[in-house]
Amino acid sequence: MTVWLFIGGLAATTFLVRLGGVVLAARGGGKADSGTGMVALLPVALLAAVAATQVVPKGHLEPHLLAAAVAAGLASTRLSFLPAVLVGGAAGALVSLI
Amino acid sequence: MIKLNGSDLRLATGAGVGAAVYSAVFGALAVQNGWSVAQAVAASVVIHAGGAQLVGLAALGAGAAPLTAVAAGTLVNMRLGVFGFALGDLFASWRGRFSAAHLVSDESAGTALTRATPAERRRTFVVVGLILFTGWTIGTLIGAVFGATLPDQVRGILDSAAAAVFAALVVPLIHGRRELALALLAFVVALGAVAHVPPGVPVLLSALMVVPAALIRKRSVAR
Repeated sequence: MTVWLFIGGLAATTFLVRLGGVVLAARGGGKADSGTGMVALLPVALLAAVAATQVVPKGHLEPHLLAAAVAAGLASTRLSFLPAVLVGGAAGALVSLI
Repeated sequence: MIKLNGSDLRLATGAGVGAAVYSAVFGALAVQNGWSVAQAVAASVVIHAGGAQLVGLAALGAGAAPLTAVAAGTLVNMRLGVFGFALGDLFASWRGRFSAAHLVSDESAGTALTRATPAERRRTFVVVGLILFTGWTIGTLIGAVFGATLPDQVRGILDSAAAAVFAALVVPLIHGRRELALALLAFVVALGAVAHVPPGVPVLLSALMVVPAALIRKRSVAR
């Protein structure tokens, strides 16, 4: 029962958070961005932060995850998304095997 | 009707595979923590937000009350509201917004924002969002059923692919020195904060870094 309560509760709050963002954008997201580019910059900051949290799970830097992120980031300047992810995954796997 | 495009499918396949790997880890951990396979899969279908599912799972495993676990997961998910906002007004009707909301994720928003026009952004968002959702659900099922049999070394390799996805998403969004400086600043802020604040807060703190970046641009435009 505890698990089902958690699943139902988090599903409801997550949907409301997502819907709130979509609705706010519909009601004037463009106006909020005039002259600053703030809305266009948000995904850069958010994705960079998510990438950072991925390489330090539980607060400890994991070398193989850092290697995967760096290799994928560098590869994505030359390759498309999927090959870049594969290069990153392979680099991380190599470091984890050493 | 959404027309499929090869570039969208490549993006979606990469994101879907990354999500499947990440969700397999969630599925395996959920079953290890005493959840049933049905509960693990249901969580991925109705929540569809990886970081929050893992944080909630850990909180419940540590003995937290369901409400506390929901609050921790919601904090992690606050960034999804910001992503929905950054996508802009892609869906004109309320029905479209309700359907689209569940597909807002780091990957679907990140890939859509690399597109130039609203029509392209909408198409990429829907294609990547749907394939990601499918990969996420199937990955959870596979992890929940077979995860316990995977050696730790294989799990370490799979984690690498999940970490690579976000780096490969952010780099194509960097078009100049300002975006590069912002990405580095956000990365460092999150890295520094992650050991000291609850999960979800590092990403929100990093989001605040857009304010100085935007003000610098406004000043340069005003000149």
